[in-house]
Amino acid sequence: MNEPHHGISRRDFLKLVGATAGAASLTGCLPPKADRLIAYVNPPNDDIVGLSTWYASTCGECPAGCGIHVRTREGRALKVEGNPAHPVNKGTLCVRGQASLQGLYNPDRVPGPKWKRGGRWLDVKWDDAIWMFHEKLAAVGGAAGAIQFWTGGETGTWNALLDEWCGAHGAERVAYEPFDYAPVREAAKRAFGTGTVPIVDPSKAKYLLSLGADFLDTWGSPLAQARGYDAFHSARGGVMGKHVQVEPRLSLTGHSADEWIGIRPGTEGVLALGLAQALGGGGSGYELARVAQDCDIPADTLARLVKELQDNRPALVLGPGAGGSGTNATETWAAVFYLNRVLGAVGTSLLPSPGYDMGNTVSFRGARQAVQRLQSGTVKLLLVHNTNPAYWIGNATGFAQAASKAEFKVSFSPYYDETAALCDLILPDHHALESWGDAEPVKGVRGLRQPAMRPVFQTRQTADVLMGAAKASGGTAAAQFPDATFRDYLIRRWGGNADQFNALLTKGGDLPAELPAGGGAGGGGGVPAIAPPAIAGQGDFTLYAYPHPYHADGAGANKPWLLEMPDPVTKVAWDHWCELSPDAAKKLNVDYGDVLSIDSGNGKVELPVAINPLMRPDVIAIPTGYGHGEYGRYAQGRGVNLFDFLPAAEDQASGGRAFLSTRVRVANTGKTWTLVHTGGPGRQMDRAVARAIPLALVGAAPAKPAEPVGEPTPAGTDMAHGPAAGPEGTPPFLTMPTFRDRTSQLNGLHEKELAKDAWQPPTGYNQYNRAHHRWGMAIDLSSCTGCSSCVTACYAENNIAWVGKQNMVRGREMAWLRIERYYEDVDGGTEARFVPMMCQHCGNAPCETVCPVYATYHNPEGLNVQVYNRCVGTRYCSNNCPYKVRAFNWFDYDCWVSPLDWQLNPDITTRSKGVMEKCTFCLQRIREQKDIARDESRDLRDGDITPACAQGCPTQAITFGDLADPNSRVTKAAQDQRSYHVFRDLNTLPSVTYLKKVSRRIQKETAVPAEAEVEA
Amino acid sequence: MARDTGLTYRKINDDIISIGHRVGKKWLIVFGLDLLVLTFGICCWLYQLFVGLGTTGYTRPAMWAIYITNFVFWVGIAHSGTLISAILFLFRAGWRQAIYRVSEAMTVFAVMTAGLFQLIHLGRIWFFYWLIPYPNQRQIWVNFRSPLVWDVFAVSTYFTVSAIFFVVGMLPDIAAMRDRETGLRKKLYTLLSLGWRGTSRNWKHYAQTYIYFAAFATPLVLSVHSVVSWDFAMAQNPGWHSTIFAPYFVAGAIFSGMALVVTLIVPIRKAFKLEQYITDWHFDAMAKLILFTGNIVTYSYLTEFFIAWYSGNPYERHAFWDRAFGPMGWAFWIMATCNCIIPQLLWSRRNRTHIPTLYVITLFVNVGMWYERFVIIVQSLNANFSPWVWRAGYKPTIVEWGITAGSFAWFFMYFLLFVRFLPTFSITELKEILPRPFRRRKEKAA
Amino acid sequence: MRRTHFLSLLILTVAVAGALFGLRSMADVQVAGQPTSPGDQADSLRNALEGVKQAQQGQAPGQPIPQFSHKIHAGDNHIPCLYCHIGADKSPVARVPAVSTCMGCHKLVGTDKPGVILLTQYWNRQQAIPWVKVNDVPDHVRFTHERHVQAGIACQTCHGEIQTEDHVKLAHTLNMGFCVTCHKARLNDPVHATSLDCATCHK
Repeated sequence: MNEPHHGISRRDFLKLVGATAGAASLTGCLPPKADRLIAYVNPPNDDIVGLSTWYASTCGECPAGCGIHVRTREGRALKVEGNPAHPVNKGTLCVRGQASLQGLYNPDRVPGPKWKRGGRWLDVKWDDAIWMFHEKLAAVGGAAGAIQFWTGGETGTWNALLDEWCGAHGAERVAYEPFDYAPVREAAKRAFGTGTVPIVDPSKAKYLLSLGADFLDTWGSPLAQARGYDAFHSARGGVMGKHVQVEPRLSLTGHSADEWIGIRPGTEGVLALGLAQALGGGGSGYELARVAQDCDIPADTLARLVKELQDNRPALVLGPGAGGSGTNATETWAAVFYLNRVLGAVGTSLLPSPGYDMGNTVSFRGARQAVQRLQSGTVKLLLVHNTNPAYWIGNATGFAQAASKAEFKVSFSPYYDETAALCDLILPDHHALESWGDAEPVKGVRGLRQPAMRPVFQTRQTADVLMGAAKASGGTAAAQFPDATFRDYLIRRWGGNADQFNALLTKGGDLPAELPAGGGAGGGGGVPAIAPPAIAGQGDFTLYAYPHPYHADGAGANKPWLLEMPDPVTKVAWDHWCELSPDAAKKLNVDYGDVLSIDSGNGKVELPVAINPLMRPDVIAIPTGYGHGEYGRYAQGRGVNLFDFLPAAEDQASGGRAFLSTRVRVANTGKTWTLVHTGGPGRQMDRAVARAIPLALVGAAPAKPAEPVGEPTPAGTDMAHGPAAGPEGTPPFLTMPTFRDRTSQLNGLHEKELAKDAWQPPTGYNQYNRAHHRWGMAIDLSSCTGCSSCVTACYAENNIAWVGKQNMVRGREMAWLRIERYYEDVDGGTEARFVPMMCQHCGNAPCETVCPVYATYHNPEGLNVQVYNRCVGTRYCSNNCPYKVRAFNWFDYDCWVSPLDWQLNPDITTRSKGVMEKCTFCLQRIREQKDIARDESRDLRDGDITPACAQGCPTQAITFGDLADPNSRVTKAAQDQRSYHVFRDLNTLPSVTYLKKVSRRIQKETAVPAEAEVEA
Repeated sequence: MARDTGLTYRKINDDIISIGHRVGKKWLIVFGLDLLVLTFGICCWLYQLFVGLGTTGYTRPAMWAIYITNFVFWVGIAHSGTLISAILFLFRAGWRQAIYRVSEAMTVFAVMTAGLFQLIHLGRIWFFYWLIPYPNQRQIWVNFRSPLVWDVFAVSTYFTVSAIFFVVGMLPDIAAMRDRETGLRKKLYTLLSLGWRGTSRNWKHYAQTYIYFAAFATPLVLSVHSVVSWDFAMAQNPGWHSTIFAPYFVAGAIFSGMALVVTLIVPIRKAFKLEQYITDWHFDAMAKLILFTGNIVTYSYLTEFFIAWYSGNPYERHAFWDRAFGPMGWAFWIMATCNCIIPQLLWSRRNRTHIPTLYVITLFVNVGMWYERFVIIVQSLNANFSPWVWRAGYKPTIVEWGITAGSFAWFFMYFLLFVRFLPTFSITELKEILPRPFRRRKEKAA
Repeated sequence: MRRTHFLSLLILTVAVAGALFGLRSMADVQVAGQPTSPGDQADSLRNALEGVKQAQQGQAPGQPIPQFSHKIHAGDNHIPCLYCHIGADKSPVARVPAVSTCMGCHKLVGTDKPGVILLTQYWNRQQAIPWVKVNDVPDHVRFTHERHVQAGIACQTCHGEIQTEDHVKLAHTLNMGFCVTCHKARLNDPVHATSLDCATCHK
């Protein structure tokens, strides 16, 4: 059963009855259990029981190789956070990085070496497994090409070791990843002579034209790009570059764009050349008229683009991501690079050298050739590590059938993935968080990886296994690997000085402050030519296959967090879906959840529909990463495997896989599927939840001050709560007197006045006003890209249960923090606005007054606290919460299937059934920092405390701090002209201040009826 | 206002006291079925207890639904009882004598049922006692600002008072039964009659106590349901946050209560041939009251909609639009039909006194009033402030229906026992309205 | 749907189980002094089978090394508490001494005593000593030794006159009332003012 248990089956029930009856009769009159105190036998010297220990390491989820800090308690990894010293992510972390913990503790990991006999996996001892491996190696005896070693795209020492090892054993290495940027690298080789993926830094550009690159989500190195993009686009200081997204289907990146233009897929290159020519970049035959026709973009729009590019140099242009790369992908990118030269972006915001190293991956073509060799039967021994060809190119190349030709097949996969299932022996590798290693995503940025904890399962690091094998084989191979362990090998490559090495470990590696920017390397060349993409198949829809934001190439598909979290664009969770434009949906007469049959000629699948407001009507978009046949209880049987569905087409020049390669027939099956789709109508119904301010007004003194000091009390408020002048310059709504709140003093309200604002328990609670802080948060909607990293971070930090599809259909998700995504009709189309919505910690909280047992109450530091084990579950608080951010435990969710429960944060309880829960502003982190400050006998400094959500945010959109301190960043942010409160007219006086999104597309702020009436 | 119904003191004693003996097999069958339903309800509840509230259809935003609906419904039912027995007594409305015992019983049992739902809807019922203020080692108190705490007080007070009122009122009748009965029943009645001997002192105290409790219970009729209404009015949800709620709920309560009284009395009257005691005159009076309160309720509905529009408050406007024409609008229209349109039939005297018609109408009213609460609770919650969580996702599950059915069974269990073992009609007061015997002899003499 | 077909079977069994269930969740509440959620039914069953009881006030449960005595260590020999319970002054948790810590002395001291022999056996097996917890607070409580120790609260305030005890006994039922009483008393303490904010202890 791939979902948490809700309701109980007959058998379980009988068990339960038995157990309960037993428990009742036995323990009914016994006291509860006394725990055992299990102390260390030999305590490690760096571990103080009860305090967390942090290890610097490198994330292993994708080739971007971000630096991470892993929090451990009593030897268990609990939380992954970004390493501020790492130039790639600078302390931020993406969804996948946050969720790597669920890879580490995944219940479907291979617990130890396995040997397949008669189609069943038998446990074997490591020694035997290793012996078996050695035997097979010996049998092959180093004959050239007899061993084929499939690996992922690796960098750094591990990559070197692999090559060395393969060399020593005459093994052929095939490094394959589905999203290997082959076209980009090929084009870069032609244009700049580099062969890497250029570093992109929008902050240096004035104008950003993305021809389909989803660079805030799945393309390139999203964290680094998001950081640059924020500087480019968040309009701090009133300057805001313009971002135009040109793509067939509105991507997450498109949501942040100032303008979205639909384009016929595959014609991005033509557009680039057309623009280049129009901008006087030479070339011929690409007059705007023709371009307009090819790309199906109005000519005047193109003319406008040209003008804007003309006026805003340097302008950065990006090409299509995987979804848009057809058989002409390389030419397309070549054209894009050419246009960048014309626009002067190369060397400023487009930095080709050194660029991101994707590892020496062979392209799709290379993989196919390898499979043919496999097919030919010359390969005796097949080794697979950290790659999953059976899932990625199974259909395209007949990998499974070919693999069966090899005599013996060994997988080093930590998971039972599709390829491991074909093998005879699994020697499970450590998870990245358990391993030694390093990564060099960009030449000169060398991040170290160290184990944050002892292995969860009986696994061994493949590097050690290989070195062991080499030793065993004796001869030259043995000589090449003198080191006892991979760690020693690592140290040797890092200069051989163990102390130095350890010093670097604590820093996270040998890290420059900034990403190295070699500027525009050589190369150059003339105007590239471009052919239209070859798109096979019949039908009126072009299939646009794009990488799923969380599951990407399918690696994330077995992590409940990632399945439960709604997709940032469609807000669909747990299910696989296909996206249609509203027009197409109308034409086919389908709506959310209606099942379509999609026929590509060489295959037919059925998927439920999700509607994407901005899409070309002749495109159907489907994310990859679903449809696993193996890989684990959560991933299996969910959706379809798009890699298999796509035809085996490739980009001529680079040999990279052409994902944009087929047309499909689409028909309405008339069936419907209960699709989990959060987000109600998706519109904000004029309720001013997500507000925006015209760019023109930014910086300019607003007509009406955002929140004038000492404004009259909103109608129907008690004076004791009503706004009063704050301390110097602080808008009143921030230091609002709250029930027995220190801030009441700040507002010079007399104790007596407070006393009368509510009944006070006779237990000295009024001593509260000794508190010195008023915690608050500011969220800049201009910076938020909706990536949902904060949501995962929140799940990881706060032991939030995931509830599974059945319950999500009922709207019972437990998320304390959700990203509300609203579409707004503005002139020139639709504008998307993201609002991270969590408990607002209202100064005047509706939930507090209605709780009969004080389970929720106001704390002296302005926090709205929920005391879980005082809660009796009347749910009145949730009914009275206008933001609906409280989550109720409808069941005892047993979703922490061991060992997932190892990840639980000991600083917070897990909530039992019948209890209300909600965001706490990460109270435990506040406490931790207070303790540290007190130990150092100092006051808390601004920025000491960062809640989980704020910590990981790629654009640092979330600021947390002390509103009672007029100089704190959060106070400053809250005083910003753009600041506002959601549902301010309800006078809930939230502690969370939002900063209006800066929009190019609106001339004036949309009126807020409800508020207007209050402020009139 | 004595009316000659050809009754004599003796006949009254015979008729009323014999009811308990006249029930026969039918009673057993009905009672058995009732217990069966009750058991099912209990099982559903236990299942919910084990597995969690998730076994209901509850969801965000509809965190309250059928259980609170039932709570309000039963509290409402309770009201007419006290109205008839206390207020009408103080106003000396003659037609109450025949029916007030039944309605009092109904009151007590209805409150007992309502109380259950306060507990059933808790997420952690095993801590229900935290809602009661008492000195404890934790040294914490309940939150007196919370309407739910007011509820606890209101309901418990109401139950205590109406129960005492009920018992005290029965004293002389029980004594009368004691004097008739033998064996076990005699023992029981001896116990219950608290040594009543019918002396003038007894009667004097009885009369005083009765008036006293009547006076004491009267304000409760208004207060209790006002408090219940504040569960909603004190919250700020659109559709709840309204000053009209208290009077509106009280009227609704009496409306539904009277309806249920009729629903209960008609079968009893038929089964035990009490046409002489409960005449068209009584039904006519009750029907008028139903019509009157029904129209108040209707008026309140209209006011709500008008204010929602007139206030210009976008939240309110949306809430009420959604209430009538939203995805769950059907519930609203059931309510409107049953509570506003159908009762209008009672304008004609023929309908008021034509028992079958009246009976069907009251059944509709019962349904309608249940839906009124459902509409107020579920639909208002669905149309809350935050569009992001809008979802008409609430669908009751078998567990909820089971517990609801169980609550009716629970109520009728008590009522059936009451009919079987206690004086279903007030012997004393029925006699009071008879012309005094010796005066009649005088008349003959003359 | 499971729920529905399950109901068909429900009629009798549940009634029984439910009654018992009701009993024991109440029992839990009374005995434990603080609320316990029914989530841990399975737990209590296991405990019952293990027969390990949580100490009642004044009780001293049996320990794996019965001879160990705080009286000898803390009382007679005046070894400071923090010598063994490292971290009590800098972490929420007062660490129970690691076996190595004990052996630090007992490699040489009293090697002939039965208790030490037991200890040595554990050491030789490199095995942790499964001490039975005497002083315990529920999981939803966040108690930090550090703050209390640093505020100069004597260990004895909560743990009783431990230096006089051969076998550690539960001096106070460490329930909410116990904490609150003390916190109230020191609410206006000039140096180490306490707080009555629920969030101070509830996590």
